Amino acid sequence: MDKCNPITVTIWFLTVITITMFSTNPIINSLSFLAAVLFSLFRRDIKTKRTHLYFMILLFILTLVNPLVSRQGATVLFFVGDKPMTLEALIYGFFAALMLVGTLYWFRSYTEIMSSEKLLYLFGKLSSRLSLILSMSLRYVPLFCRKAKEIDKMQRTLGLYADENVLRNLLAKCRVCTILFTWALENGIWTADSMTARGYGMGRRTHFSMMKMHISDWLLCFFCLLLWGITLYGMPVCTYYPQFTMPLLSRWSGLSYLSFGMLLLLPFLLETVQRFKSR
Amino acid sequence: MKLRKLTPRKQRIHQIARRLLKWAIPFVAVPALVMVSALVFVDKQYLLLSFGIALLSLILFWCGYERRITGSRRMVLAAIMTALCVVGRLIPLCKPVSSLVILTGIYLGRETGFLVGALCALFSNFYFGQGPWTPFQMLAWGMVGLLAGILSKPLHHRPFLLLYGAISGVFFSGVMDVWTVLWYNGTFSIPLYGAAMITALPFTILYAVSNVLYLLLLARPFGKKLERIILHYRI
Repeated sequence: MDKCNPITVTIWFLTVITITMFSTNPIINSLSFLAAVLFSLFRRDIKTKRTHLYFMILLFILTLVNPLVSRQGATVLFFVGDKPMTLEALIYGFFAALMLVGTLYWFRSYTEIMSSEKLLYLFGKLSSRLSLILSMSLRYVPLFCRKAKEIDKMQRTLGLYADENVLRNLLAKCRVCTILFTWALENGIWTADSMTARGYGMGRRTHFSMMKMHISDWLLCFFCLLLWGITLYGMPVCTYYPQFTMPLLSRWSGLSYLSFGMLLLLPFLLETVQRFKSR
Repeated sequence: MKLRKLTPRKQRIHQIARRLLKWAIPFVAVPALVMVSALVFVDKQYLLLSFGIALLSLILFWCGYERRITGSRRMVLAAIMTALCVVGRLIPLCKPVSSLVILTGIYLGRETGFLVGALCALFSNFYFGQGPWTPFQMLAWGMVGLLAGILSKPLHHRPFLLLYGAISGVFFSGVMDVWTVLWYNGTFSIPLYGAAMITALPFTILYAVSNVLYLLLLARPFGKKLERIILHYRI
């Protein structure tokens, strides 16, 4: 996925995420959730185990919220106070939670894949001014972090910190902030003036980019959209209230599940191919 | 830079259009876009939508001033404030984002406040994860900056400023709760909104408290510096 054109990557994620969010179908939701978790494990997008744990707790809580709020459904499991807890509400809550946490996983992977350079490329296609502000802000973030550390060290060598005193430490941190702020403003004015001096805003801007849309990228986009269309067209609608019903497997619904499965398999294939190539 | 000479009539038309856009974009167009993103929940093209909001806030930003020579200076300042907000969002727990957006709104004008708020939400989510919540965050922070700019005169007094900081924390949390309900339920429902508000109460308090805290700490030094820069470089 890392080597693909950002447009292709974005289209693939958009297709998967829209299907996941649109569907009320438990099979589609479970497939998407499973694939999302496997994909992030496969790519090692999430570095800490705590994030996984956090997502699982979120899944659990979201599942329980729905039966506590909703009173619809025919099968009553038990009462909390005088409010009935129904099986249908629990099922709906579970699949809704699966959908939500699955999308969170997908977004995580998307953010990991799209580096700032790729984002610039994507945004530059849409508006050059916005991409200029974006690139400046993105450049300033690490710069400010580095400068803040520099100022902090400077203040330490000047002996303006007293490590055992919490209040004075805090004041010193504030001083670092204000110094950074002054420096940033002055530096920004220089940048702006040198931009004007070099003719910023005089005409259209041209730029260079390493990324190209190859034929394979166009093909992938087309394939994604085709599978997306089939999945959405054939996806059977499930009803949760008053009773949970799922339509039987028909030709179209089978095709829908199959094409969604293929859509989900696509990045795994690309990743394995890439790994073999890079060996 | 060479400036095009405009006829008085054209200048007048430009002025009227600018004035119209100044009010129409933040109060009509952007909320409408966010609502569309919520109502057309079928296929949430959130990234396109957030991009649309960013473009609208840029247009608003360019409507805000007439002298074009200071344009690049203003733009760089906006980029710097955005970057500072993004850096501020990296601080765990107590985040100075809203207070920085408020200060921008007060000292650099309402349009810049809106732009910085909206762009900060968009850009910082490249670090924190983009999603359908982005348009809502953009709207909420943008409005915080815009209103700070509109109320800039009374907000120069410290008690009002702190009060505004607390209210904007509550406002931000409220807007995000609307998103939570829409995301979870598909349509808006008042009992669920109440439940969301209650579950988000610790966050609401945290936002309000951190806003007040940071405004208390930052308002005077940062305000002075911004004032100086504006006076010195005639922005």
